[in-house]
Amino acid sequence: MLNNVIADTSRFLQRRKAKGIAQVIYVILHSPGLQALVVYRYGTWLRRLDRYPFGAAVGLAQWPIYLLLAWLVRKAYDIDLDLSSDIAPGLFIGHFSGIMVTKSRIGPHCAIQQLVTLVPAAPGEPGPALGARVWVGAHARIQGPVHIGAGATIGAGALVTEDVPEGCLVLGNPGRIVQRNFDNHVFL
Amino acid sequence: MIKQPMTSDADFDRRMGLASPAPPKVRNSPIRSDIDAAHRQRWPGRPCRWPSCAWLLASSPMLWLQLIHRLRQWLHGQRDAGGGRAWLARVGLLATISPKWLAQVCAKSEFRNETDFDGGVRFSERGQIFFGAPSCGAGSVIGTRVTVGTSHVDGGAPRIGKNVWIGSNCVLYGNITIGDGTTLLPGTVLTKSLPPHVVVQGNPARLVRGNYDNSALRALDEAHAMDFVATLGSA
Repeated sequence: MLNNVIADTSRFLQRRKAKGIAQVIYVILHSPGLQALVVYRYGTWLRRLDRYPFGAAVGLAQWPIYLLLAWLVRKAYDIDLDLSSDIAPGLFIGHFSGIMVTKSRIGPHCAIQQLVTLVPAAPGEPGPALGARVWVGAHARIQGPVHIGAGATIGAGALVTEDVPEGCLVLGNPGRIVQRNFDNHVFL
Repeated sequence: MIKQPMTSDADFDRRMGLASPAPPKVRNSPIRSDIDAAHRQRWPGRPCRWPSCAWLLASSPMLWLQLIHRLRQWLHGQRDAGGGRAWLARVGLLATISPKWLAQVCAKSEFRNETDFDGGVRFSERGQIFFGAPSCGAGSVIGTRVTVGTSHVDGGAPRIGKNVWIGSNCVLYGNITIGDGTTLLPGTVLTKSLPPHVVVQGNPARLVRGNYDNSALRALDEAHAMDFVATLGSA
């Protein structure tokens, strides 16, 4: 868990260009996305504790703490990172409010903006799977068991219900591939 | 029988509450205009007296965010102007970081530091507004869940004109200009500049109607506006 938290934090600090201890503390205190991610990492760590002796008991004892923190994050920031999803380290959450990630897989070094929902299309199904270095714009909605290739860019407001190949730019509702081989490294 | 003089129709209408509300007063201070606009949004017919204004100031996080943003802009100006009072402005800026954070969390919204808007712009009380426009004219109405962002490609943010009505769930970004009096129906995603008085809808935004006067729409509150815009859509 600590490695993941350090990876997430360094991604945020690098994105916000924090130099010096005062700026670092400011970024950590004022990044709702980072706080939500740390709470998510804590929750996944608690679930993995049962591989250690007495780990299940220790995890169960701390579970109410996680539930309280997750509730606070949902109420205050409106960011819902469900434990059923699998988020690789290095995710950057730009703004807060309206973010819902349920039963999805997110690759390393992705970026998510406000009001983004990554949800399954129907209750029993898995959610979307994002590759590495995917940038999801504000108000986008990716639903269903879709695969987003590495380096793809989902534009603001897009609705994605079909697979997206690597490096593509998807815009519009319904989502259409507007450009292939779109370089999104300035976005990330 | 002595016939009582008939009162005028205007008196009767006013006493019965049937008169149309007085046109909004033009106020010089942007803060008074902001409070007026928020008051008219919350209680459409009522005049802005101090008890209801006090209640509004205590209960509207979006209004806190607007006022704190104006305060911090003024403090930035004082600090950059230099002189003897600049250190006081710095202290003020440090002191308002936490109130701004609290207002952001309560309103679920953000204003960029470079954002500027005239007095009298009406932001939806439901919040979730991410407003980065470098300028926004008076009389505009911004709905809930609206993002006015910068483009990562050219770094510019939209400039919004006067009397623009932006519906809920809209996204605007890029170095574009929204003309005066335009109407963006709910759910619009806009990346191109707009001429004045048009109506656009959709993702990507398409022209629905040209030369439309949205003053009636701007006078309505959110619930009634939703019914009204159903008549404007291309359906």
